Amino acid sequence: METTFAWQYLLRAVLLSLLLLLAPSIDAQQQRVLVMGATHSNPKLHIGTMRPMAAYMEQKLRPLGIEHVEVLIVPDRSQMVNLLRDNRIDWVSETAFGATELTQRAEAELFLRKSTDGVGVYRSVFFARRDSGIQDIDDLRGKTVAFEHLNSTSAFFVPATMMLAKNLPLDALVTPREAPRKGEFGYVFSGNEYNTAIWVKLGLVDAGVLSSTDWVNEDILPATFRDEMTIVAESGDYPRAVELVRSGLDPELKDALRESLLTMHDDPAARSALEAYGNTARFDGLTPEDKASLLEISSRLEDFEEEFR
Amino acid sequence: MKINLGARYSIVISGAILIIVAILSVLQLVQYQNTSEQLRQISSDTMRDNLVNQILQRGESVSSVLVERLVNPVYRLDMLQMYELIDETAKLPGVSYVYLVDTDNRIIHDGTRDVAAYGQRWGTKDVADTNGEAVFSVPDSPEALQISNPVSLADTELGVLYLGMSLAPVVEKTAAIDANLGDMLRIHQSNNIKRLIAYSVVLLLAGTLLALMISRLFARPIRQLAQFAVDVGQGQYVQPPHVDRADEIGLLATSLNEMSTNLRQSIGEAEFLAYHDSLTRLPNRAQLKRLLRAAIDVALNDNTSLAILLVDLDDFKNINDTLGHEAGDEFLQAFAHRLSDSLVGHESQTAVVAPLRNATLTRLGGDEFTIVLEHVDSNEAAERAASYVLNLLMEPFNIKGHPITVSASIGITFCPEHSDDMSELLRGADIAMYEAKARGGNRYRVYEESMDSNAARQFLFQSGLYKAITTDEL
Repeated sequence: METTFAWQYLLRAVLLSLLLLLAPSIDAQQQRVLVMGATHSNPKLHIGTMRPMAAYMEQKLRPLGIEHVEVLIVPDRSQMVNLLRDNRIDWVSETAFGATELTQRAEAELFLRKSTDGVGVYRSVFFARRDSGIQDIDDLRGKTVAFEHLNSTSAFFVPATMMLAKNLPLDALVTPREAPRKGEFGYVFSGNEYNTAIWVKLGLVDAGVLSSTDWVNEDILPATFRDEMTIVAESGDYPRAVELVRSGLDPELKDALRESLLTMHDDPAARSALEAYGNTARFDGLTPEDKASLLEISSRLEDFEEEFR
Repeated sequence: MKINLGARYSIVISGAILIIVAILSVLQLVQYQNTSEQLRQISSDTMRDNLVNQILQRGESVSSVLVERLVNPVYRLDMLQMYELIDETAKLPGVSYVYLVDTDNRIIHDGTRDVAAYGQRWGTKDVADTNGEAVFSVPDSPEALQISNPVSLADTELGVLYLGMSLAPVVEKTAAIDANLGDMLRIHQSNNIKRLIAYSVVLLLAGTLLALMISRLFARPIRQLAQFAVDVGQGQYVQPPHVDRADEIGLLATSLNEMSTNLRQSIGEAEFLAYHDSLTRLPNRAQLKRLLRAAIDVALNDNTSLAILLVDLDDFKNINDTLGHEAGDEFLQAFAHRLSDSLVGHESQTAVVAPLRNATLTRLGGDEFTIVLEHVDSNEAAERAASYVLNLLMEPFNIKGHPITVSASIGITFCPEHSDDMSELLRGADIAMYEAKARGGNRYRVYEESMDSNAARQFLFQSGLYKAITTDEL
């Protein structure tokens, strides 16, 4: 009798697993699992930021038949594009640059704007030592600029496209020790904001780029440093982070998700989930300016890809 | 102050022991001081070397790990990672400072967040400024052990890491161990001193004991001999101290003993002659008076009688005149001898034939003798004694080949019957003797008061003998 029970239990478990495995790939009227996606090199580290949000949404979306909110972390954006196309990821949080890439290549839908640390939009800031005599982007010809890293919107994509707009060749350097070819913009990746700031400060590079929030961050650029610096150029404002959903997501589910996210900052039960989710203050609808700026970024993507990829 | 031999020995031996102990103690303490100082120095040095070695090894291991991790950040000039790595290392216990210097000897990183010392020239004072440029010096660095390690990517040297390991623990630990060792040695030293004092006390006690024993060995017999000499000097012939030794003290004891014996003999002889007659060796008049005084006391106390027999030879002058004084003396000696033999009572004599038993015989002078009889039962006993003496004279004496017979006259007095005064008793006996002589001699007479007025008394006065007897001038 006991064996019969065990068999039945095992059978149920197998069927359920099968169902769960097949669920995302089935273009079902009745979606049971919602998958949150993120691009990150370290899943172990990053999953902690997403799990509380997933658990919160599992509660919120249960009335719509969602039984489970899954988290999927992929190492790079091209894999993310593929998974979005295959409908295996439903919901993604991205930078402005990442968002434009996903809309262009995976037809993902811009959904909401995420405000972190109370800031919804920011811009890129070029800066140099005050005693360097550099006052304009054009003055950077034959000089070296420190970007942060390849995936940075504020400290690579946006400023790089600004330099591309000057129609001058860019010269990628491996370390600040090298000098750019004559008349070209030399650039080098610093790896982090601190390195960018200190490199400029110590004269290892001629200029650096930081987001406007980092520019005023005392931890990255103390006032004593900043006083020695001057702003050479600035970009326009653009959303700091954007939430996207895959195309073809059930409208009812999408509405329910939007509604939950937009009211989340008022729900005391959601506080810890928001905090874990990259220190999110709130979610807002995208303003026309946001959309315009994202469109602008999107328009430069092709040129950028041509130059850097 | 008089210090005896024992005290002298005690002082000398104690002093000698004290001096020896003091010298040995000083030598020992100085030796110990030197050895412990050396030990301390060696321990301290060894400890220091070990600690410095440990610190060097630790520094090298820290440095080599850091250098490995710094290769990529230095190559990329990743200041954040350099800062994090150097800061982390600089915070390790025992690390004083960490500096990263490039191939041009300029500081790349000093471990501070704003890299304050960046670009400054690294060096020591002796390689100082070739072009007047100031050389960076490590701030606030107490004594530290510097370890340098190159940061290289394959064959390319990117820079050099300078790691300063604090030597403070060495100083602290060395000082602590030094102090511990010092304490230990001090305790040891004080124990040594205590032990030395204990040994000294024991030695001193032993020395004093030894001194006492020596004083017993030498001083006591000497003192005894001295006391003996004093006793002998005062005429007390005590038993000489028993000194059975083969040394000088033994010799001294023997000599003293011999001296005492000789002295006693000479003095005995002198004493003998004072109270005895040199010719007959019988007690003399002086002795008679001593004996008689005692005998009278005894007789009075015991309520007994005492008889005095005064014996005077008849016509003794004839022997001197005819045969010479020498023969006279010889006769007196023979007579005294014959009387003496009777006195002591020979075994052959029975009580009946020994009337002179226990009598005391004295020669008063010339041919006059006295016999004192004590505890006389009756007058007859004295008379028997007198008869006996007269009988003794019956047998001739052989003097120089001549048979000579001499008679005697004997006067007898009794105490207390006649008197209890010695002089009176002698005077009475004398009177009685003359009475006997007046009657023709060879007889005895007991004193009677009536005799005092007879011719004999006259005779006595005339010859002046009476006066001489009564005034002891004889």
